[in-house]
Amino acid sequence: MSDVTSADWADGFTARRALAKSISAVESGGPEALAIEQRALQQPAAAHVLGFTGPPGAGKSSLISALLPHALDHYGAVAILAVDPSSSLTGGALLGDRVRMDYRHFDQKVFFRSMASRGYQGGIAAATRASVNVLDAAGWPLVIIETLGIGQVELEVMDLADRVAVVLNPGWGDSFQANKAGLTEQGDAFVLNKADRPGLENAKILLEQSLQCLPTATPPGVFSTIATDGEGIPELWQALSNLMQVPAGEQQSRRRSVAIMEGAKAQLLQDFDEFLASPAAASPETAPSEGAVDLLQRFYRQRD
Amino acid sequence: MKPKRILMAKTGLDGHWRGPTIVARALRDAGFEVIMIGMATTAEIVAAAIDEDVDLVGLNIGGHIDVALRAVDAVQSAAPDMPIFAGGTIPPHACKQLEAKGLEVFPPGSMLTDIVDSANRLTGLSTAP
Repeated sequence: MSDVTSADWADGFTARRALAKSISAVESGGPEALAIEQRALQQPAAAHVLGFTGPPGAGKSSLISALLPHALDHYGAVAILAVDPSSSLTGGALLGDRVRMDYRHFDQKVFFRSMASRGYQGGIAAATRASVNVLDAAGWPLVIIETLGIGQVELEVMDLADRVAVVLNPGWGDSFQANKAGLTEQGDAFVLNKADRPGLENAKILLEQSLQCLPTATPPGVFSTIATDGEGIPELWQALSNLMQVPAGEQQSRRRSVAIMEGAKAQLLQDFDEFLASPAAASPETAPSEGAVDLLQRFYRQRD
Repeated sequence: MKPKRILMAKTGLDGHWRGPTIVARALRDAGFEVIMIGMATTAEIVAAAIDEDVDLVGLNIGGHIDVALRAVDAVQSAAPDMPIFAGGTIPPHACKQLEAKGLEVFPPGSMLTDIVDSANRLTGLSTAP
């Protein structure tokens, strides 16, 4: 845990800055990003990864802030990756998850990184997986991923995290919403935050009924919290820490195989783009479907 | 091209959010990734600037200039290559103190376009004077 000891912190930010800069390099993508992730994956995985997802404004950041003292007690140090959306118009982003954080618990034992989605679909950023691997290799024992505010299907965090909490609010939806595919089919714990709002009991019943239909032996628990005044937080942490009693790095092999697949996909796309730019790609006038098949056949023939 | 990242922090205890929120929006619309941290101590500003690996630190300064000057010193000593600019209700003599430390300063009446131009220049996106 060379990056998080007080001694390192006291005499400078060098190690910390190097870690932050490797996450920036991973965010920039390309061969350097893959090389950094490869190096990170050579370390045996030791980190636990906990995800928080849910619609915009449900209170994901506030909940993480409220749980942080418990997480620090349990793990000693915590890294947080918080994703917010990039504008599809300008590429800019307002990354506001830090605003909800209570900095009294921030010291050398908390690493917090805001990430813009940069056009990536799935509720996280393209670099989130690689960043988890980098933080794991740097010795952070718990990595928390906060997704951007999701709709119903942006659930890629489920592939990265050991366990995921879904954060909703009273009044979030009726029985049809609760039984739709997507959000309520996945997730290991469900949190009804802002529990002081009207409609808590109804939301709880609908959610529990929907979760009982899942093909699991025990349905995921439903918890009520008010993140801003701490209500329900100890109970939620107790449940999450029980859920997190999985071997550390359990998901690393999954993250590794996703990394390999993503690397292969990126290479394939690059090769195909190069082919498209070459004279060999010039297509005769045909119907689109035949043209596409023909184009692919010529691409594969050329690669043989 | 990878978007440039800017940290927006408020020094001291001033609770006026409108100014930095409008500036953050303008920078966002100009294509920057703006990390809002809100009111923060010197140590929190430095830690955020390092963890977030920003290309530029923006300080919203209201009230005590001494607190702001300490934050500037701390960022400059932790990350000497990280540029800083400042804005807010800053009196003329305090502007001079900040400028003496190498900051571009935007007191009341500054134009958003000038702030965006400055951000572009300080992050190396433009070389215009």
